Amino acid sequence: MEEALEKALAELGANRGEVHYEVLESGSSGFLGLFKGRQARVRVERLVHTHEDIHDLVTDLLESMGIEAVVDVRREEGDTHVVIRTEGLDGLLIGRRGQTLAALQHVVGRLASREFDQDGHLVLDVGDYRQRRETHLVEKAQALAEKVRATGREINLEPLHAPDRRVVHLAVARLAGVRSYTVGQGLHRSVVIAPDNREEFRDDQSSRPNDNGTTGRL
Amino acid sequence: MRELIEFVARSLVDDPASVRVHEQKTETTIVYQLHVARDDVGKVIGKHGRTAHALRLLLSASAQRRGCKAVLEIKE
Repeated sequence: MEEALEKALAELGANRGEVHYEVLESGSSGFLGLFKGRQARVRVERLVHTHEDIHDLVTDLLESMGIEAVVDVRREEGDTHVVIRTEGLDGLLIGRRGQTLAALQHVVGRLASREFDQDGHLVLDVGDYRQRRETHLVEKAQALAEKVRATGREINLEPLHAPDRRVVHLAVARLAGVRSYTVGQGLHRSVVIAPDNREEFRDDQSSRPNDNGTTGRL
Repeated sequence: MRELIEFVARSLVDDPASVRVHEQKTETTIVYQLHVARDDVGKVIGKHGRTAHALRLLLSASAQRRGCKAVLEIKE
C-alpha cells in the first residue's frame, strides 16, 4: 500500500499534504506461498490548494490581527475544514452569534479563491463552535416547532446566516406537522416555522408545499 | 490592525502597489482610511458590501484585542 502511494506521489511530483488518497485494494504479500501476492491499488487525487497553503493563509491573517493560534487543516467529505484554536481568544474570534467567525469565513474564502482554484467548500471553525451551535439550533427548532404545533401559529426566528438556516430547515423537515420557509433579504433573511396543514389541502394539489416540508430556497 | 487591512486589501486587489492605509488617532479611536485604485474599490467592498462589513468586524476584533476602538473608511 505504502509502496503504491509513494509511486503515485513520485509520479505527480507531490508530497503527502498535497493529495487526497483512497485505498481501493490493500494488496497482500501472498498466502502461505500458495497464492501470488496481490498488488495494492490507491486512488490519488491532487488537491488544487494544499493544506499548507490554507494553513499559512489563515495563520498570516490571524497574525495580522495580533492573534496567535494553532490552525489545523483537514479534508472531510470533499470539503476543507480549518479549525482554529487559541489561548483564551476563541470568544473574540467567534463574536456575537458567530458574526466574527462568519466574517473570518468570508474573508478567508475570498482570499483563497483568488489565490487558489477552489475545490469543495472551505469551512472554518473556532474550537468546537459550529458543533455547539448546531446542537443549540436543533434544540431551539424542536422547542419552537412544538409551540407552533400547540398554538397553530407561525413563529419567525431571528435572522440567521445561510448555514444556520440550513440546520433549522433540516431539523424542522424531520418533524411532523410543521414546515419551514425563509423570509427577508440579505442579512435579514430568517426562518419561519409554520404549522403544516397538508391534510386540509388534500384535494388541492396546487397549494401543497414540497414533500420535504420546505418551500422555496434555503 | 494596519497589517490586517493591508494584508486583506493587497490580497484582494489587482493593483496591490496602490494600496495605502492612513491612520488618524483620536483619544479613544483610530480611524483607518484605506485607499485603493479606482477599479479595485468594488473588490474591497464586495457584493452587497459583504467584504467591507467582514473586514470591519475583523478590525473590531483586532482592536478589542488591543483594548481600543478602530474604524475603517474605504476611499478611491
